[in-house]
Amino acid sequence: MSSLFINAGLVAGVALAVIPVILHLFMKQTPKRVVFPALRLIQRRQETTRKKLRVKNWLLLLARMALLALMALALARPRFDAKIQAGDADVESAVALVFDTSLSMAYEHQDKTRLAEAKTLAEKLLERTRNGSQVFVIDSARAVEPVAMSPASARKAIQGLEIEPANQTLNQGLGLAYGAVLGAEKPLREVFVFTDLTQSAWGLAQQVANLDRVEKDKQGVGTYVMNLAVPLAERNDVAIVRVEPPGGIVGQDEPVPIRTFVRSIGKPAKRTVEFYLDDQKRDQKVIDIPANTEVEVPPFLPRFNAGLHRVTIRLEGEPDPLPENDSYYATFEVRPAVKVLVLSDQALDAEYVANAIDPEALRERADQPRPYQVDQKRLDQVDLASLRTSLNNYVSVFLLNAKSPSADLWQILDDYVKSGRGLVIGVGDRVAFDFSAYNDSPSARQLLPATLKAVTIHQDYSFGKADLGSTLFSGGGDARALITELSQVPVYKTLEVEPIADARVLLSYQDDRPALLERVVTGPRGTGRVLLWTTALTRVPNQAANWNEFPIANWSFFQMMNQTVPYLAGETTRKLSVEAGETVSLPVDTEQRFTDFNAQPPGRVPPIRLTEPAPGRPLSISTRLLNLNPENLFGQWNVLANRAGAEPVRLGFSVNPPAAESNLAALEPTDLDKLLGKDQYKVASSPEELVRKRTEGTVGRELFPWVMLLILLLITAESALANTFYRDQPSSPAPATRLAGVRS
Amino acid sequence: MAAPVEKYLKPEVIRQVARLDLRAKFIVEGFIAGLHASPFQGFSVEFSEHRKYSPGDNISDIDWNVFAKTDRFYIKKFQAETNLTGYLVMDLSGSMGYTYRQELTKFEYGISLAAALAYLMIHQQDPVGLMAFDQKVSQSLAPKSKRTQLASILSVLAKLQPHGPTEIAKSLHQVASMLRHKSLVMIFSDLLADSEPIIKALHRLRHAGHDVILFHILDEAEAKFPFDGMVELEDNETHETLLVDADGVKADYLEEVAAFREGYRHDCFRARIDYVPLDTGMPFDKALMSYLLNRQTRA
Repeated sequence: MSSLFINAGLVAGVALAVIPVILHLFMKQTPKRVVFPALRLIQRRQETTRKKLRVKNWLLLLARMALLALMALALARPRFDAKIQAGDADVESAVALVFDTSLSMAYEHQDKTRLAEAKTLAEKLLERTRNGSQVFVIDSARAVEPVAMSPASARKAIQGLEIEPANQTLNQGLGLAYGAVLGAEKPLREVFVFTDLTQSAWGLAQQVANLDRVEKDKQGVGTYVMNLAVPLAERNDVAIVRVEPPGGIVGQDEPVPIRTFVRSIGKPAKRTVEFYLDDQKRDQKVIDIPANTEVEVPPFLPRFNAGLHRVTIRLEGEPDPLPENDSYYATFEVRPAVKVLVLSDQALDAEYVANAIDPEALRERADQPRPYQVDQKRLDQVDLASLRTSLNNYVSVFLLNAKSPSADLWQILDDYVKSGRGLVIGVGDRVAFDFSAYNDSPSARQLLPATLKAVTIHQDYSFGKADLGSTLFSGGGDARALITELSQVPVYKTLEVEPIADARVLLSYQDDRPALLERVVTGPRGTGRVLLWTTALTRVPNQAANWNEFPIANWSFFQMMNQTVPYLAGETTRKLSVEAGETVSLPVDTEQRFTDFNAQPPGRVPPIRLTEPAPGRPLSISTRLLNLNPENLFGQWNVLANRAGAEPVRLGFSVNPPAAESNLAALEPTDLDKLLGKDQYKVASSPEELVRKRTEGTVGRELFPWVMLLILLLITAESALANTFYRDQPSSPAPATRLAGVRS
Repeated sequence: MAAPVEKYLKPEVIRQVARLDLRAKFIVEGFIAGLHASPFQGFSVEFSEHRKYSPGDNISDIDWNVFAKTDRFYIKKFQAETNLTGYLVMDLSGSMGYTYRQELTKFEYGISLAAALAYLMIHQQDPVGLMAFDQKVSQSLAPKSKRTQLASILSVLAKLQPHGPTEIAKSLHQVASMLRHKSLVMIFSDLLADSEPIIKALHRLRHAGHDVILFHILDEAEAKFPFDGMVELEDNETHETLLVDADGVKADYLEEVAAFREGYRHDCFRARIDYVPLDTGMPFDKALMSYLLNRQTRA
């Protein structure tokens, strides 16, 4: 009760409400007596009048009782939603300050970054925090259990906060803050979040830890979100939103058009886009960017030689409030043409796949780059012993429409896949009648993602859904366009299969039966993949006997085959350009004797010694754990793998700011409600508002004005009712009654 | 602005005149001044005979038709119609002595009006008498048209005092039985009693061939109910009391008063009785005009 009233003692005054009852009972007012000869005219309506009078009397009594009770309440100054006891406004408290240190907080407005603004506000807040209070400072980039500090120490900790290139979600920081203040034995517990409320800073699908404890806690925790976002009308930023391809492995002499997409938030902008290849400026384009629109810059067409190449794209022009997203860094590794082996019983079965991967026209022209070179071999002409030794030259093998692969062949292929390579199996008429060579061989069972069952004939049938999470689709061009093309390919025959437990269906038919299955096979020397197509990847001269029109229907066959080879070679999963916070995996031949691995950041900082990878594993570098500031993290990284008595192996990768940080779209209030609970937090957009809302949250919202308004209304009502009953008679003329010759 | 004499038509002015004879005179003169034409000519007298013109006679009275036939001057002589005998019937009930605002009581208003009518009638040489009743006719004065009759009537009126309960219907029956010739009966009462027997008594008067003017006098407070707040009302005749919320009951009461008057108006109309609803705040000319209209109809 006491926390509900500032002057709790005066609440007892509510008892005064009985006064009107006492007055009503004991001091009933005598009405004025008036002689009125025409009384008989009134008596006819007497009963109605009496009832009305009784109702009005009760109303008047109630109004007077309520009036006295409300007056007592008003003097007691009731509060609503108070967190602390009355009179304890200056109590020791547990305060958690959660800082959003994500890149968007580097946005400069009025010569001040959002983080600097947050620091200023937090300091002001700490000035109001009583000594003896516990303060927890939480950096969203480092979601670690915070330690309790004094307000003075907290001020120092806040000063040390910096923009972090890789950030955790604020949900995590908030969860830690709740945990910290709930554990503190203080009468007042508050959590302040300093953020620009951009969507990228929050995990919308992620629960805030300890929120359930806060809701159950009797004392409660006041949550205040300080919105530091620049007003929408004043917000402007030009950014490189994405680059395609973002970097990666490319074939030697292969043309790589680099497409850059730029967006301007707030107002139209004009920028010069500069392209650098290996630190040499090679091209530039001047572009006009309409407000809030994404435009594509005419592509940059570098020609890469073999080896590692760095592409840097920069926006030049007016100063930008968020300069971090004005540059993009990409690393391309140019590899020599790789070899692919296609095995089949008949030469014709290999033709379509071979031509898709290594077109005949290119094979005949020495001046044209050939990213992939295909060798075709008939199984009846293959010497298994020589095959075993030569297989290491191929990054992947296609086994197409092979009637009865021998157990030895399966064994060779099993070893091959377990060395980290890829195998594609395509079926056809030769497989259709006897599956024993596929289902019975132990080595085959080690590889195949499914057991073959029976051939099914279809009408009006085609491919359906694809697993876009797989880099087989997402690692190439436009995945959705490819799936649309696939859905238009007529399929007449398919193989019924029973997938094994850990098989992954990458592509289905339109009735969700599997069309392409994948099995990941791990061996001591690496991890390989096996793909099984349940329809043919070839055609036969007899049109009626064809399994599908896949090889000739449209360009989907060409694209699928050309994406399959780099997918199996691991090129699509090897990201050489990563966002801050991601992990880079650089394949190294661990059989070589490396002495150490050193990474040289882009900034002027000493090289970082890296941990040696386990045998068969790539060199893994977590950009989050590097603990570098944005200037030293974003850019081109060089990695030297030093060898004893040999030239070091030169590797490299690029680190960019998270693309989401360029999206300054604000979190919707409904999203915040979902995260923190409706009415469980307060958002302030200015220091004054924060102070006011904090006062409301701690001392509570005073209901005095509302009570006074009620009192005024009651006084009016009481006055109206009272005047109706006991209004004084007009002073003039005199109220007395004169009766000539009659007693008055 | 009202003419100086017309102000005497207002009750609040006439109450300041103490003598009843003066009240009557002032009321009548005020009324006449307001009419802008003499009420004593044209409808209250008729041609009687001719006589020879003698110097000093009014030239406008010469009958020129007779002069054309006889070549002599004759004066037209007019004679008042003396058949209209008037009775002023006063209600002496206690309720008539009531006033709320300290102006005229209903009774004082009534006797002022009666005195004025008596004055008017005597001036027209109509015989006029007086009756007063409470539970029965307690005072009466035989009708005469002499000038001294006015003094007698005023003297009696001045002495009358309203008191106690009344029997209006019974008294009116008594009045009817007392009148032998067709007369003009002018009743001054607040009619605060059961209306049915009163209407019957009025019918009896009409059946006997009398013309009746019913001056229904209520106090201004009874007509307008100016009270507010809680009041305890007391009937000064029966001493019954009633606690009422004046604001709450006002509308109902006024409806009741309107119905009360409408009832009398309707019944009187059917019986060809002049019903004149009055309250003590109203000027006297309305009542006097009602009398004169009645008189004209009979002439």
